[in-house]
Amino acid sequence: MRISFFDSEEQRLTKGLKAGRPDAQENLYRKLAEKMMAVCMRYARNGDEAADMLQEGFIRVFDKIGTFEESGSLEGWVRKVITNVALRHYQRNAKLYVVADADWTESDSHSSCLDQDHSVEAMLSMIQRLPDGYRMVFNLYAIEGYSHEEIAAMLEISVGTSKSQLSRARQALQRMLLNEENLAIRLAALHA
Amino acid sequence: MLNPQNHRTDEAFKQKLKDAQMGVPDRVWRQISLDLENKRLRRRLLWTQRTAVAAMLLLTLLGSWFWASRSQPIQDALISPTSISSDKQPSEPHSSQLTDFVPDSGSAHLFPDLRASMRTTPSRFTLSRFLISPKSISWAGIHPRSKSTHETTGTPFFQPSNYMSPILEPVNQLKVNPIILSEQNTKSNTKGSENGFGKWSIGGGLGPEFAMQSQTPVAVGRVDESPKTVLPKNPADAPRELTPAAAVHVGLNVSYEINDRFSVQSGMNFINRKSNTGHGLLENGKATLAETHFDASFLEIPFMAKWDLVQRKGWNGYVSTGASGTMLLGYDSFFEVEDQVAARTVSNLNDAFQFAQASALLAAGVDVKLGERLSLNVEPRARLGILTTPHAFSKANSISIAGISGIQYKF
Repeated sequence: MRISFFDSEEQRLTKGLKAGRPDAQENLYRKLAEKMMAVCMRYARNGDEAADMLQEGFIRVFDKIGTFEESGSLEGWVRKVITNVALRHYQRNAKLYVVADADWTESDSHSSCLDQDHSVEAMLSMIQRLPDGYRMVFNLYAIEGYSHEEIAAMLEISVGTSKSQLSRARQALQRMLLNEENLAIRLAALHA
Repeated sequence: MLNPQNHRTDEAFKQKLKDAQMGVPDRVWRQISLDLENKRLRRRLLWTQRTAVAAMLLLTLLGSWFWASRSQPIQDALISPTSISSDKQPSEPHSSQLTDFVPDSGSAHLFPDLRASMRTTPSRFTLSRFLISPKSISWAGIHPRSKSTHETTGTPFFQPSNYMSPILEPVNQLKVNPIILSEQNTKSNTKGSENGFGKWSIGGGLGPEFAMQSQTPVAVGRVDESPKTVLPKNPADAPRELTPAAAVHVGLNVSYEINDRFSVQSGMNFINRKSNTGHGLLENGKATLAETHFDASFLEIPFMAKWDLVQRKGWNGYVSTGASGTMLLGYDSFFEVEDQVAARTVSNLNDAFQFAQASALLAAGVDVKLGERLSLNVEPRARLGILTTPHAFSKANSISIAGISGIQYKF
């Protein structure tokens, strides 16, 4: 494969990946693994599941690199592939594990001041505690920026279901944030 | 319109998590690099196998062609100088190059032991042949098996030239015409074969092979087919099923006719087998589905005896039986629990050509004649595994069934 002098680092990396070079594959992994692990953590129930998703995702990236058209960024494309792997993982398991939807009853909105600075780990933990469907829709809508129509198509659900799952996810997260904040206030009062 | 509280919630999570980074366990890259290495090995093995099969096919075809060319003398034409006389000479010259030939019947005694012979050779078009008759250029090119050389013996100073052409030309004419050549072959090479061709033939064919492979309990349906599917709590409660292992069977053979009805056959078959076996698993009190995937390639060397039971104008019906030895070329086996690879074993080059199975073979089939030399063969075949290793094609249940179809070419 010809490598032009004027190729950017990403172009050279892409060419190496398309040629199946082991050094290029390891470079890409070292460069993006930690970011993609955070993506997987948002879609997974726990760290082990996220690691499995990450592994499957990178294997898929290396298998499908030939389809990357280089019109967008490589990182964006990798993120999309890994998100798709996470969704596929969810869709497989959604049929295996029955989501106890009845446990999540709609309630009034909980007002969290969100003034406190919650750690990444704490926020991930909250997302992971959501039921699978809520977690998927919240991730896709609030963080990835997809529309309800796109989410409905990706998850093979109706637009109405997507909206209601997002609403429930928000309520659950707000309740968790409030609980965390209340707990922090109580702990601060104890120490005072 | 978006509720401000909801908007704040969305934004808070987006800001924190959109570009967050998390530590990755070391095992992830180890597993990925292992998978990549396995894929590279498999590609290399597949390339080696394909190259080997292509090389064997090419060698078999070339060998057969050379053998056929070498072993079928068309005719030896011995021309004694004493037989050269004016009444044997053609009344008309055969080419413009011969027009100035003046027969000299008296010259024959100068070369008392001159023998000019013509025979087919698999070899080259010789310069001497060119000199004798430029006409030969055309047919030598068209019909390689009829390439001929004129051999002269006994007269060191004799050089074939148009001096001899009129004498040789009548003999040449027999060979120049491919139709006449073909007729001569038919007449001179019966060798017990009913249609007058040789005893040897080569063939190639392919088809599917099925073996009843697994006896493990299998879950009711596939979990990903319907959300209503329920796995049994105890794997022992699951119905026991045999999962067929499908294989592709590609073969080459060489056959030798002992007489009109009996022939023996050997060759090599390339077999690639893929099987997926489902298991119900009870893990931490939860029923899950596990699958074992096995992908293996084998090389089989069969020895078969064939008996034509029915011989009709357009087809023959036959039975054949024999034995075969099978060698492993390579395999990839992995175990998945809930679609995640839990364990994997991949062969390396040291595993190649390990003995895998000895089988007894029984087949019945039909040869449909497509032409003088070609026939189409359709053959259901049963294999009974006699000696097996863990890599055998039909291991759990020793019987497998194949349906092979191919083409046979008779020399």
